[in-house]
Amino acid sequence: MSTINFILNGKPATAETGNTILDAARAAGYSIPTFCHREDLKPFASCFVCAVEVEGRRTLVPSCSTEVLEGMVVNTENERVKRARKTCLDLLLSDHVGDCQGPCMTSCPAGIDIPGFINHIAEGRDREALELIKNNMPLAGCLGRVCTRPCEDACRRQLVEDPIAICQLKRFAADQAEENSWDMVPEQLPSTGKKVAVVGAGPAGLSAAYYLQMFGVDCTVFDAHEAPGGMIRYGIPSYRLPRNVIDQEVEIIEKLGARFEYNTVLGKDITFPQLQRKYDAVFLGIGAQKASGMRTPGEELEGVRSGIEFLGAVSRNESLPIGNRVVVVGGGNTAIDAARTALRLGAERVTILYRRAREQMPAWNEEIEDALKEGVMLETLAAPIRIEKSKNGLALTCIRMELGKPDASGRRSPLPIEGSEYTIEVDEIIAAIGQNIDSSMLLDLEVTSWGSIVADEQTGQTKMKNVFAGGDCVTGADIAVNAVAAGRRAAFSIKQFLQGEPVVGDPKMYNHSMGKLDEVPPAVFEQFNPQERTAMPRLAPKQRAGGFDEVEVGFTPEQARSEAARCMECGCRDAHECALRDFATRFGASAERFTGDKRTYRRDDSHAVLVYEEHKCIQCGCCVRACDELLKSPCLGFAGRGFEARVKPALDRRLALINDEELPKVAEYCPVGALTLKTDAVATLKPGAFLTSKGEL
Amino acid sequence: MKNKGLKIAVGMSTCNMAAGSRKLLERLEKESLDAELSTMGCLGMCHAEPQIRVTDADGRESLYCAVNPAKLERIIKEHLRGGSPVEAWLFNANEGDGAALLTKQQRIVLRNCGRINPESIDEYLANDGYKALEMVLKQNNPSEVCETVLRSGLRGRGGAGFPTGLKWKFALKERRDKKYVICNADEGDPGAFMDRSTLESDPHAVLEGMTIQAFSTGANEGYIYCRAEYPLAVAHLKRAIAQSEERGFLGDNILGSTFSFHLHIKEGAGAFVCGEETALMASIEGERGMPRLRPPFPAQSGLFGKPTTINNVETLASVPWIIRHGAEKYAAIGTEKSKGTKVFALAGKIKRGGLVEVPMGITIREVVEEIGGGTGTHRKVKAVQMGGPSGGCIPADLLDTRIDYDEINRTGAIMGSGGMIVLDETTCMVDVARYFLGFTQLESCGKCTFCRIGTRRMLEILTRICAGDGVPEDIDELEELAVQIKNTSLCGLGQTAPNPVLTTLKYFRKEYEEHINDKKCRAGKCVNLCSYEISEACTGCTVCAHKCPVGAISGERKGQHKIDQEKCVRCGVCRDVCKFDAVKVI
Amino acid sequence: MCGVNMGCVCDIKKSVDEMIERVGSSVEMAIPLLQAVQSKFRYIPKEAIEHIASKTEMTETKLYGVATFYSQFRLEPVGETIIRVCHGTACHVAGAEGVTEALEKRMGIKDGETTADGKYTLESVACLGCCSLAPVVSVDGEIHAKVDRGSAVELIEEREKA
Repeated sequence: MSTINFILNGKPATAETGNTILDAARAAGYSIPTFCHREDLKPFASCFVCAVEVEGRRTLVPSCSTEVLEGMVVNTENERVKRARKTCLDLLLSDHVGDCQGPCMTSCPAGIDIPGFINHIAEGRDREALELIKNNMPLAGCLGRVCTRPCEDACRRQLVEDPIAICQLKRFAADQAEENSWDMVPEQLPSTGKKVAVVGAGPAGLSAAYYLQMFGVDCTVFDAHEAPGGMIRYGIPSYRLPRNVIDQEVEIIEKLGARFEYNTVLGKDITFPQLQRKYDAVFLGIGAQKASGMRTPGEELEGVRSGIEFLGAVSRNESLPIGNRVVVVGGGNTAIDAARTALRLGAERVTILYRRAREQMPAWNEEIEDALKEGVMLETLAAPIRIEKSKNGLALTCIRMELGKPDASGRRSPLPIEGSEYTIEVDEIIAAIGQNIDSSMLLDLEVTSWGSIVADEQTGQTKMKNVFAGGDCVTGADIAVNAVAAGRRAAFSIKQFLQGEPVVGDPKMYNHSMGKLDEVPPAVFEQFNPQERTAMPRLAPKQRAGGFDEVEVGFTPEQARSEAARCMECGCRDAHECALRDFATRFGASAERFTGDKRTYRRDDSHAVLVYEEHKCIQCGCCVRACDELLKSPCLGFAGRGFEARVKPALDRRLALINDEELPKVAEYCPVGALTLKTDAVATLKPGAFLTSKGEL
Repeated sequence: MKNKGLKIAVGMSTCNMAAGSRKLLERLEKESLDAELSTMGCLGMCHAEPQIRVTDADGRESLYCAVNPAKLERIIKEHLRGGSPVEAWLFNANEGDGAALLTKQQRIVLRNCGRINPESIDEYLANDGYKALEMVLKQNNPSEVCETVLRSGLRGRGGAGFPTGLKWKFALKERRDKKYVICNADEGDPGAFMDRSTLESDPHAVLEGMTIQAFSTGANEGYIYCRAEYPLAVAHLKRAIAQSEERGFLGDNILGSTFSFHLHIKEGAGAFVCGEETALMASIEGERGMPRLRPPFPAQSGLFGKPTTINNVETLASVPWIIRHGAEKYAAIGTEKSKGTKVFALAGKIKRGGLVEVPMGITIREVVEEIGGGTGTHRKVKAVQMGGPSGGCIPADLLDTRIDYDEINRTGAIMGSGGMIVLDETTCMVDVARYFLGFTQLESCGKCTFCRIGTRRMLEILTRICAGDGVPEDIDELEELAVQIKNTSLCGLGQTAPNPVLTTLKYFRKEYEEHINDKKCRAGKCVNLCSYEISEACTGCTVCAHKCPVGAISGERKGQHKIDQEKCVRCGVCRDVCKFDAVKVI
Repeated sequence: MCGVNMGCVCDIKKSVDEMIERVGSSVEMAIPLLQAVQSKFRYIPKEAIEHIASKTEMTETKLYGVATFYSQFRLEPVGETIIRVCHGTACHVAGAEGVTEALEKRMGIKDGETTADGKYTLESVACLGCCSLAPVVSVDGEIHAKVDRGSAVELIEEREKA
């Protein structure tokens, strides 16, 4: 073999006679994507994602099957090539039907591998399930109880009957750790010797500390309160989230090496510039714990306080004298929590006052239901206008409201009905109408006009390069899972920052989706027989009101397995290894660029081990050629032509009718998830994959 | 019986039969005439079919055009029985329309078409048939034949225009035990019928050309790959092959030489992409017609892995003439780089549609306006589509472009195999682009990503624009996709598929913009984007009202008619039938 | 005993055996064999593919691939009469879409479908090569020139009367 000299991306390069451009470019360290090319198959040149430019040629050439010639001038990554690659991928995506990850997973802010952990539970691998959850969610037990469950809103199972009880299954997995005394301290990378200050031991700070410790970074966590948890401790009553659950999960972070300094107020006990000097980086997860006022005359009177203050006090075991007649103003979860807590403290009559209608209440419906069952009263379409001292307590004057026309955001704003004022006698008023951020102690750090910290959405990095932020202090009061996710993203960013790498956070992979619930082809869910959602066992209402025992008692293992078995396993078995997903991520491809006809959903799982999903096939022909050239078993072939060309078994038979031992081997040749083995789990992040794959980022 | 020794030939090509010639032949068969009743192929004058040629005993030829049963009765009575031709009906090649049609034509490929009975080898032989083959075999110097063909300047008439002699030389150079020749008769351009007509009307010319091709490239086996939609061509070829074998023009030791050549017919099964040579070979091998990567080129490794030369029908039918008359005589015709003649299938909005063969170098205007007689209506020529799905639309103001490979390429269209569709103001150019993309995306073999999905996406965008749902960005996306598809397809189908869009965007961009921005289709073709109205020019003849398929037109006889816009489906029939140009698109 | 009802499995097998004998059994004969099958049965029964595969070196996968690639082949039975509307370029600009539309309306089927009574199949065809006589329609192979919406429907009506 003789050596050929050619020019590759502007530099002299060599190749052996007979080398393809692809071989030569790869040998020179360039990466060229390809679907249809495999070492063990003859060149085919169908996908054209490997196309490169050869000077003097009118068209781009498929590098997988074009030989390098002496003196050739080849460009494998100029603009023309990149544009072609992106268009190629855009086109393939426009005719690709399926989900990379299930809708539950993509709607989970923390990105928990939901189908994966549910699959583990269904098959009795509870510890693996918990490990998988913890890759994205260190506070599994806490969030398993208090998460607002965006995942369940997206769950496709509701097209059959009801969504899977994802959140409660997560809690089940977490509960098994205590049940079985598992040591859940994860593996850690060797210490980097770097130090990070985490301000705030709420969901964001705890999450950041957990992952930073895993990455070998030493964290010191500062918190103004005397115990960890932030809003999940001081804003959520213990009947919903027992304190030992928080403590156990924080203990793991301690075991990972994080130090906690409680009762330390930023701006008082320690200053922001001090932290910046002492530590290599700072993470701010200071939350939004300043209660908003009602702007109602008389709100400063004794007997009026904020929901946060109230719940916090209860949480600190401050014995609270509670009046008999309590009114809680607001419609969110804090209002409900405050009302139910007041009931537990012995109030006789607890009323929630909300200015819109019940349907508009932002609180979680199940919580409202539970509150009503426990005896809380609901007064909607009414708002406070005046509070005065009265003989036996407080006189609360309210006005009736009605809903006006929908505004720009589609929300109907409440309007007072003139002359509808009425006054009630109460002992206590709790205002749970929102929270603010106090960022005054952050000095020069850029904040918005309403006090929230300005930080990059993907990385959490602020304008000060060594300062990162996440959670409520960035977003304003928000759900806990968003804070956990933000803490995790920031941990990745901080690690990257400390290692002098580009700060990108935990980059998102491309995700393909079959669309919203109403866009899902009926064939996807028609194959499932209805099976009712497992109801969470609860304490009887009578048992609850008197105390702070946890109301939801948790699934039994049998209940958990049966509930987990309902999962439709949306998401692709190949999401982890799919070349289409990988390239789409790398080249910024999008399924939105081209709209038009698409493949029909057609899943054949008749075979014992092999599944064929025609709707995911990209026509690269690897399986067909593997059948012809290697397996000598013509099980699959091309059928039809043009846009309707497909890979099919002869006569469009079901795979089960193909009697050939070799057949399952084709799965290995499919670069996407069209041909998969049933033994491949839907789990996209297998337990243990976390440290090796992500740790090397 | 007064008139004896007549020879009557009835046009029995597919087009003649479509125009009703079978009834004429049956009628003549019933009439017991003392005449030799024969058939002939297509004269190329498809606009005036069916045709009957009567040769009197004294050799005088009379050609009757557009014969119908009533006319035939009079011809039988006055001419066939009475001996006096119906002078008023005779086709006159020397003046008027006949002269306009023929003066600028030069017939090399079509030399025998419509002149001889295609089912008779004797008639072919009587017209210098197989003389070229005899000459070649006598000389016994294949490389000399290659040289002759090269010197003649003959370029592949399938569309790409590769020098035929060079192709043959490449194959001849290969020292292999087995070689093949193939005649590509898979005429795929939906708007071209030169090959059908040639195969039906003069099959032996193609066989002779192929035998010479085989001799000159060292092949001894050949295939004619003919589309199945041409059953008559296949039948005539089969008969011709049998006759040639019987007479020793095909088979072992042809004409006593050491040269043997066996020929097979393969009927295509309906795939445009099989016009691409590697796909065609895959098809002959019994596979799906999916193009293969080149290199290796067919001249090195073609059919069954053996060196193979592929030429199209028109190219091969030119070869015997070149051999007989010499390369120089052929090369004297045409332009510097495009020699000889080219056959065009002239159709669309044209007065005298049919097959024409013209010397290279004359202008498209001469072909369309002089030979074809223009649109034949008051409407102007808007554009000429050349090259079918791989070609493009040449606008009216470029009609002076000469018939020359390079000059036509410069317009963005291609010479193509010879389809020439004339378009007038009633043709919507966006719709034409949509039509072609609809065709190519169906015919894509489905292998390459860009061609398989990209052409479909282009079609969808065009369909949206025609439906009135286009957005301004659509034009950019069409252009981008067009460039990308041309850049990244394995075979000619994908590489040329965007041409109809690119040329219409180049010359008729305004129409796209009108569709998108003004929601108007000025041609009155896109039903969501136009409406029809009857102007004061209406004479109240009532034809439109009768022809309207939905009864949307009302009006008194001799009074101005009116279209009920609610009922109207915008099919345009009223405009087509109105003799007074009273129906307007608004 | 079979034979009465053409299309029954042993009939198909017998015919296919005869075709293999006549046409040949080598791989390159896939298209001619399928053409022979279609010309006899007017479509390609799946049993024919199975039988060819069992008797020759051709595989079912290849045969199915070929049969679905070429537009000539049909894998479903067709109507007694096949009406083909030419959609070549010349026919298109002369109004072939309208002709198809009119026929669809008259027969109550879509392009590519067969009437419920099994009498007619309506097809579009790329080009019949009679461009100067556009638009053209072929009824069971007989080509009719310069057809319009009205005359196309008349073609059916005449047949119905006959």
